[in-house]
Amino acid sequence: MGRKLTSDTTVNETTQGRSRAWVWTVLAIVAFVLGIFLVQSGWWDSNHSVFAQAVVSGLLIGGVYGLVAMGLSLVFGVLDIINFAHGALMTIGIYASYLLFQEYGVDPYISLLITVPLLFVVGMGIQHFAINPVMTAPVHNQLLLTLGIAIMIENILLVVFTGTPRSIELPYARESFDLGFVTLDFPLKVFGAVVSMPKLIAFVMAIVLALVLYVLIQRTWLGSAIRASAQQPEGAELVGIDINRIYMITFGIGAAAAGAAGTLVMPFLFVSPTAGATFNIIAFVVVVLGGMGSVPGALVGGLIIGLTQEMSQIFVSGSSKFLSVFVVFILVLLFRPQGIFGKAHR
Amino acid sequence: MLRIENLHAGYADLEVLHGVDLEVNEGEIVALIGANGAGKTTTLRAISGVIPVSSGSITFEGSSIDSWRSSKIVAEGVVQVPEARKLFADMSVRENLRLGAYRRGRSEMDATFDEVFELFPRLQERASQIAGTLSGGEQQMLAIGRALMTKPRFLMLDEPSLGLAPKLVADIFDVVRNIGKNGVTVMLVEQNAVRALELSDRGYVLENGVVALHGTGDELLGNDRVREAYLGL
Repeated sequence: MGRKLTSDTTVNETTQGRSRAWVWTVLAIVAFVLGIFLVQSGWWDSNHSVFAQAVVSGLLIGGVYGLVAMGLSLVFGVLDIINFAHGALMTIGIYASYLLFQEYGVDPYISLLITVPLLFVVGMGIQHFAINPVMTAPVHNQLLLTLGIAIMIENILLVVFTGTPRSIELPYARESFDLGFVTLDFPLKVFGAVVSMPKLIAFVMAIVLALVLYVLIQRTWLGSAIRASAQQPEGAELVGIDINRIYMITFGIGAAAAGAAGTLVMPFLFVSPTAGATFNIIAFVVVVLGGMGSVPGALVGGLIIGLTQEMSQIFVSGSSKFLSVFVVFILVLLFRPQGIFGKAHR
Repeated sequence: MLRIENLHAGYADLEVLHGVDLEVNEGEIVALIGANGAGKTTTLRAISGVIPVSSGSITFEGSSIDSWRSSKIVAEGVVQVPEARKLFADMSVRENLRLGAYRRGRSEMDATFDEVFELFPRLQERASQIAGTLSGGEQQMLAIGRALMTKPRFLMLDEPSLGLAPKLVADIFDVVRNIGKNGVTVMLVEQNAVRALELSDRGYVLENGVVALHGTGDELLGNDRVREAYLGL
């Protein structure tokens, strides 16, 4: 019986692998033909700087999407909870760093030292007092609860700060920096594309934080316990892992990732009580694309979605930039529902 | 060492145990046998704190552990090798074993590694292999090894011989005997009642959530009712 099952799976996997290779081959041919056509028709000559701008903007914002999605994916992978309050937690990070900058003059990037621990504690509190009681409840109860928390946070922020959009100007956003071997003159020009300093910093910091998170999960003692709790909760309990504590810490880490992302985007965003909500929706798409529960998948997915969003604006002018994102979403659900890095659920 | 009195426990709407009484003394190997659904696994899960106790008491070395969290119960030295092993299937053999020592310091971990590898040389050969790709017998060894990494004083094994080839079954029972000789108190849940009772000092027979019979291993092996119902003799 066991033997038969195994051989069936192997056959299944090879046929799947073959059809996947076939799809990639067709996609590569289409891309190649399209490329030749665009160069031949002279489109490339007149549009290559627009193209470069889209690539650069897409990658920069994609790094932030990756960080937001990593937190969401981690919480899903370990607690099996789809956290609709993730964007609202990000908004708390946005307002916290905004306040620190406006009231106390704290540099937004320095304020990470405050917003990350703050959101970690807020996340642990939400898990302990609100999520923990519904851990074994039906999925729709959990969804409604996290959605309720999101609405609550947004409305508290609305009451306290009103709906007026606010923004800040980084005092050093247009300065030059001499790094010795090269002078960075902001806003930078790269292959004809403009790179603003806050977006570049957000990207670099998001990638650094994403790597830190990855190392934390893959290489530390705590990370082992987190992965064990995700794979086999009862097995984890039986080796003495306090699984409730792991759930609390994991939710805290997820919230801290959202808070860090909020702080990083604050300098180039309109600050409003629903600022994080957009990121929440995109993060869902990224998580599905990267594979539910896969932390590296979230980062790769974030970069792909960032690129998709910006590149589509070249071709379909005037359209909502999120249209293409959701087209990708639907295609993934249709053709690779387990995502790029996800494992198929048989 | 472990005393269970009038234990009632089960799942949401279903009470499985209707007043179980049993006692295990330090250094003993005690078998818990019974038909499917009699409540053997439920008893172990209640002891480990994986499911809540609705009434009755579980005391370990004088302290009442029936309301403790499972992590605290493990820290106290009460550990089980669960049915279906519950390994961390995507992790390596070594990482599974390391997680067994989660509650203890890293300094003590190396010595226990050596003990486990001595007991199961096979696990040392396969230390880097992913647990989910091991054979059934190797997975059972790993489950026992992982439990030993916690340095248990009271070890419960839930159907360790289930689904294994006869040669491996004999090996596993030898291992259980050795664990007992090394001073660990053992409670063994088994379908394979003859082997379990031969190995054990005493045994309990569970029927429909209560203890129907208990006695020394030899007594139960000689008991007509047990022979008929569980030994197929």
